[in-house]
Amino acid sequence: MKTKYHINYTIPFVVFILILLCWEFLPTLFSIPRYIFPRLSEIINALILAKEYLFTHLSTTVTEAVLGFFIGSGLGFIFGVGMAQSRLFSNIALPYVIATNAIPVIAIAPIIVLWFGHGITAKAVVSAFLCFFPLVINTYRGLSEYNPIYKELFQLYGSSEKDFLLKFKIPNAAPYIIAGLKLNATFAVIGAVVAEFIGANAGLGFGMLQASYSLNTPRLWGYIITSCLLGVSMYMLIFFVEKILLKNRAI
Amino acid sequence: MRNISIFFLFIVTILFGCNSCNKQKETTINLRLQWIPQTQFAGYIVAKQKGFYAEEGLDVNLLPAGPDLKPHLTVANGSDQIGIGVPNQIIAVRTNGVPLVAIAQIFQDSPNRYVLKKQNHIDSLQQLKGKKVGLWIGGDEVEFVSMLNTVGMTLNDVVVVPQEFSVVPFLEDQYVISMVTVYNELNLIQQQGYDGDKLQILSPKDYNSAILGDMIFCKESYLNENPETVRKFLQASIKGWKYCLEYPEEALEIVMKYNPELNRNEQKYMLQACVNMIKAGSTFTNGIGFINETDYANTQRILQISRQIDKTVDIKTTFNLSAWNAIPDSIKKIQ
Amino acid sequence: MNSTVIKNISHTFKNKGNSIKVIDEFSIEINAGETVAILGPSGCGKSTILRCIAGFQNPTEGTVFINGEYPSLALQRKKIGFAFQEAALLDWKTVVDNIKLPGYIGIKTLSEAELHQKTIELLNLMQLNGFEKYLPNQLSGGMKQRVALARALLLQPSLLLLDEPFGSLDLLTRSTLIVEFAKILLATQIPTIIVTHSIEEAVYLADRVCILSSRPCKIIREIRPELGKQKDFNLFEKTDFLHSVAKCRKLLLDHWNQNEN
Repeated sequence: MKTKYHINYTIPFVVFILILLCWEFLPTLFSIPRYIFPRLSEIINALILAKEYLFTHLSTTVTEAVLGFFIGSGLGFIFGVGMAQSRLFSNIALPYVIATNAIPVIAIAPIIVLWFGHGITAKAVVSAFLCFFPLVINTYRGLSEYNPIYKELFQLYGSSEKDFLLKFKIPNAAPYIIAGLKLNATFAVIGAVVAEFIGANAGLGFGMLQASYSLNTPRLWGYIITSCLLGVSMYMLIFFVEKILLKNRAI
Repeated sequence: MRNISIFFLFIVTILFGCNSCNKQKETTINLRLQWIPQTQFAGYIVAKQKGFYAEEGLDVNLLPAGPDLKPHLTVANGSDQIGIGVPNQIIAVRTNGVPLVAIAQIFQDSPNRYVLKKQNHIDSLQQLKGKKVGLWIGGDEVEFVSMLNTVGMTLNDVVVVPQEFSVVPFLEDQYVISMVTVYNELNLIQQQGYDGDKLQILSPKDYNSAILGDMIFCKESYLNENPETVRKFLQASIKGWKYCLEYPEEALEIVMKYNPELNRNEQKYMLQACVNMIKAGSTFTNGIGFINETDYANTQRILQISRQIDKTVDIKTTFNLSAWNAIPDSIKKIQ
Repeated sequence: MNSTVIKNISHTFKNKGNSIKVIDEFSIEINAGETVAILGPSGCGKSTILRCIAGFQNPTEGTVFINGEYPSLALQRKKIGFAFQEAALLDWKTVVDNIKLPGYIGIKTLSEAELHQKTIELLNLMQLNGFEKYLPNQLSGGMKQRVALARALLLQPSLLLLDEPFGSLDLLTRSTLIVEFAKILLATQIPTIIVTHSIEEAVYLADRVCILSSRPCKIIREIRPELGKQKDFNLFEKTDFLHSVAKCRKLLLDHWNQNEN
């Protein structure tokens, strides 16, 4: 059992600490200037110095990402259900749905900022844009892949299509849908930050731009790490939701 | 037979010799502009097209910049040798240990103005208390912060409305006072009928809050290793700007030919605005490109007030006039 | 009319120009308390017969009447109980919720209290006490089938259809469940049709065993085992039982050999 504990916890933790130590001491060792690659302590220091800005930027980006996450995932879910339930809708909608995935976000973000301005709306839209496709596909897949035997089971009791959808297909699709939500957790943050790069007055991406303007690389890195952590936190949130909702399910 | 061979050899040697005589060793310089090639950079375009750089043995590439391509980055990482920038940025990067240095200050005034419609005319900035102010934020608001500071106000005393890149909100009275540049927005507003006394124009210089416009900068190490090259570059560039002051119509034509996609009227206006910024400040006393330590110190003060920088640097380290000083007065000075 | 009458049903599957006739004029009549086994080799079409009876499929020819109604109507009134070869339980619902499921689909025919009552009864009947809160992935194959059977019986169907219900289970579990199930059938008295390829199963459980030919299937013979109503584990070794099993086997093999020649 001791070995298992080491494999699960001790060794990864030790490696993590080693990486942090390298980050702290290697730049000095190789005389790398602060504006090229800052040490870990310089990054933390920069964040502490900027803590008011950090708070404002972080709350802005969080708002945008959360809005985008729910709007994009919600729309994606609706489209997924529509496409699974109606062949006609699926035929009409599919090319456009695929198009949203094919357009690179870096190309569409400036257009969206142009339409919606520098405020939170544009960022939430870009974020939602990225969250749309994964949920459509995962919802569609989850709703379509089931043993046909269940359809017959429900037919036995005079089930309407709606009943079958609500009481079987959607709960059955839950693992797929949650998998899509986990993807969207990070996409939402990426969308918000990328849109802030294009045009914003606040937010982590905006902060990054500002920091790069004066080559304040420690602060830039600080904002980058903060967005990473934001994405990870959202992912962990979904992870815990999944644990609660899907407990003990046979996969 | 022998005579003909010698004759042939002679001709070939002369031709070959002449060839290598004519060919000077050219130094290549990447000059990163602040934006696309336009009359804002007329001096450098004229210097290239009229051969001023070539005369000095320089092969200068005029490279455009954009939102994703910033001169301070490309010069700091060594891909470009010289860049066009603004003094507040140089000071800011130096506080972060980046070894860039200003070598000539071409525009001797701020390109920013703060405009109000006649009906909103003010006699003192204090009258802006509680009013809506249109500003570009993210670093550009520092001048206005300093201006307010002269009457004991802060940004909290006004209502800041972040601006985008359109003058329409100002025209529609979404704010009382708007930050504009002399490059284009001012012209756009004046063209809508707000010219002459219909528009009140505030200049940050009047509030000792001017952050000067375009200057030339490079990496410290580049200057130290290539002092002659830098001097030659500055000399040809200043010669180019002087040409623009003397022959503005021709300069306009040269720029339009260099970048045919520009709008002629807008470029004419922009060129005049740049000329006005050169014919200001220290240019009259010292010549085109002089860096006044007081201006730079004032800029650092402004950055400090608006908390754009966490610490200060010795202002003498942010600029270096050694190459500029070596340029003859006849080229730098204007009448 | 308390009987189910299947009259001359035939069914042909059409697929890209090929047509395969799987059922050829199958007829049967079942009354209350009767259990009929449909015994035949794999792939002969016996599952299709069941599905036509259940109304999942419309037979190309022939008619089905369940208590005097068409299957579609009977389905609406939830009068058919069906147990699939795989238990087909909902992974995210407990044993109790799975059994109660028919009460929440379509039109509600029983009240909440009645549903609860019935579920408790079935839990006892199927010997599932103690497993109420378990999820399907915590149950063995045999347990899952018991839950499926309980579910099929929940709304007191007028016809119970079982499609190879013990087919995926091991020998010992199968034997145990067969014995238990015979007792349940005796207790509920619901007319039942079991489709199976296991001769022992058919002979043990059914009052009448219909032996089917291979595809397209029709009834070769009907055997009546006549083993009495009280059955237990010992029956598997009794002479009468073995005799009927042998008879069925012979019929099947003879027909199979005939077809081969």
